[in-house]
Amino acid sequence: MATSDNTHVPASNVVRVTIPASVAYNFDSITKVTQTVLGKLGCLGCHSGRDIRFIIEDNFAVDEKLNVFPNINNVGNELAR
Amino acid sequence: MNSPVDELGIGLICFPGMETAVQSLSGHIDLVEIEPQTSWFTESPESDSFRFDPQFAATLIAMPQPKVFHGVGFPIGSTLLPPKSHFETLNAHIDAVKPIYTSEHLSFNRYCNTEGSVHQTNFLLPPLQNQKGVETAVRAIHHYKQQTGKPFAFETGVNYLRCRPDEMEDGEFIARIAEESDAYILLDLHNLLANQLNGRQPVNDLLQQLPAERIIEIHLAGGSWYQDYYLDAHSGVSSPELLALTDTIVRDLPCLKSIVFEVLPDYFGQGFTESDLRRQLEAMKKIWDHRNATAAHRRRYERIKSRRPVDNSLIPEVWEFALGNIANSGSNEDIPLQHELLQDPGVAIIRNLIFEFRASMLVSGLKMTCRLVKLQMGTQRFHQLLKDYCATHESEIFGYASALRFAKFLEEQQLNIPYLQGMLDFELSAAQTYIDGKIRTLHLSFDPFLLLDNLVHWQNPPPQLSSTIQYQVEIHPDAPITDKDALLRFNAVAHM
Repeated sequence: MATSDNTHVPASNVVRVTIPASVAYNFDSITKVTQTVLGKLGCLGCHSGRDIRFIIEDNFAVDEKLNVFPNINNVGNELAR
Repeated sequence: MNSPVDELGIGLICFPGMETAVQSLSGHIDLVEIEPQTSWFTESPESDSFRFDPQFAATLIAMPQPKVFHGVGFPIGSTLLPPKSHFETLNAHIDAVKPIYTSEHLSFNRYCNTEGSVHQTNFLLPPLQNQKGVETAVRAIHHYKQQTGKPFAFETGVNYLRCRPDEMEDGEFIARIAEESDAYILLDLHNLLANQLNGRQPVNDLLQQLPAERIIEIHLAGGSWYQDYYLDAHSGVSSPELLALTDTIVRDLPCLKSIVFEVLPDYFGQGFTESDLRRQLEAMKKIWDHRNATAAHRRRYERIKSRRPVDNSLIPEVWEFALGNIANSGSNEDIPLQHELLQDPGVAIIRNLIFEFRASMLVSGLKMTCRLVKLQMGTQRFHQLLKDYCATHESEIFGYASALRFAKFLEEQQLNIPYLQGMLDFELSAAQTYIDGKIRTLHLSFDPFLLLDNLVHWQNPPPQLSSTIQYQVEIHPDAPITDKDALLRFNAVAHM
């Protein structure tokens, strides 16, 4: 849970981390190439087709028992092959 | 009067994220086209003020090629003119990047309902094709030209609807707007081929109705099929059919200044490579060399006016409300126009595409938050959550405004998902800092990087990441950095 008050936490129990906004907002970029931050915050580009970002996120599916598995029939996976 | 434009050559639309490809293929690119609003920010869903990203602008300015602006988000086929703040930002952006001319789309993406409130569709919809539709576009173009003072071209749009028996033909509609507004035409041949493949006017018939001397730019792209419709997807290289068609057309265009290729950055890494882009640009160069090759007396495209009768009784405001409302999944069968449009199978395509646009914006705007929710709820329930959201909440054209609205919705759902609030705060704070440059500090009762590491690898986080240790995460502004640098910087600044 996020909190703005940690005054009751002993200083020795506080981990301080500094992180650039572009990394924090684009954490995936540490492990693989993705869009830049701008592409996520700005106006949608011009096209009248399918926006595949939703489809790409569906490359992994999660079933009712919360098992995670590759969604091999997904369009995003087909594009990646 | 539109000022004359010099010959430019082969171009590429450069989105944020494509800078490296543009620089690497610089020798194949004569001009860089930019969709300015893709690098603009808004502060909130309620805000109508914008500002452009100075870092991306600086990157563009440093590129040696001339620039052209291709507007998105505020098309000229609409009765609703863009807000004053749009032109203030656009003009500041023009002053910085100095494009030779600007263009926009012959479409609409906003409508006013019967109570007078304005709604977004997040999709470029076709305007009403009669004389009142012509006048609407002419008014918007005059306004655009007056506000920017730059030469102006409008793009021929894609239209997934069937032809209506009493509407103006596509070519005639485009021609009248160009003539009555004294605008140039940006001939998007991929759009026009999509329209032809989906049952609308054949490209060559359409060209026969155009004033060819007004065509200064051609757009090419790649598309894909979806439920028997050919989509203007910008998903890869142009088909041999489109390249062959373009090669025959450019020979008869006397004033062509450029051929520009469009591909979305999302497709890089999804099968589309820099080699593909190079081959595309090389093919376009060969076509470019055939421009205006036909002797004047043998040119095929001399404007022939359509004689088809047109019903001018319908007004654009009614059309925009009917189609916009239906596109946004509303429907009122009692209204004859809405009833008519609902019989068109293209409406279902538009609705599906709009849902994917909106969902894409959400899952990329709050990527790790959405992944956490999906991992904890399952795909089916997560998709239902997105559908519920889209059915009950306004659409936004800016990513950050969209993320803010969805974050509020998630909080209201009381989903009881561990770490959800912290993850939301983390992503929203990072976005806000990226936009306004102000340092933000978050206090979390769990290790955010262990959680993020799980989410990046599609693993459900362990039930208890929480501990007696508090994590104080300071998010500070930075210049855009490469992915390789990102890891180094992150590692370099974490400390206890």
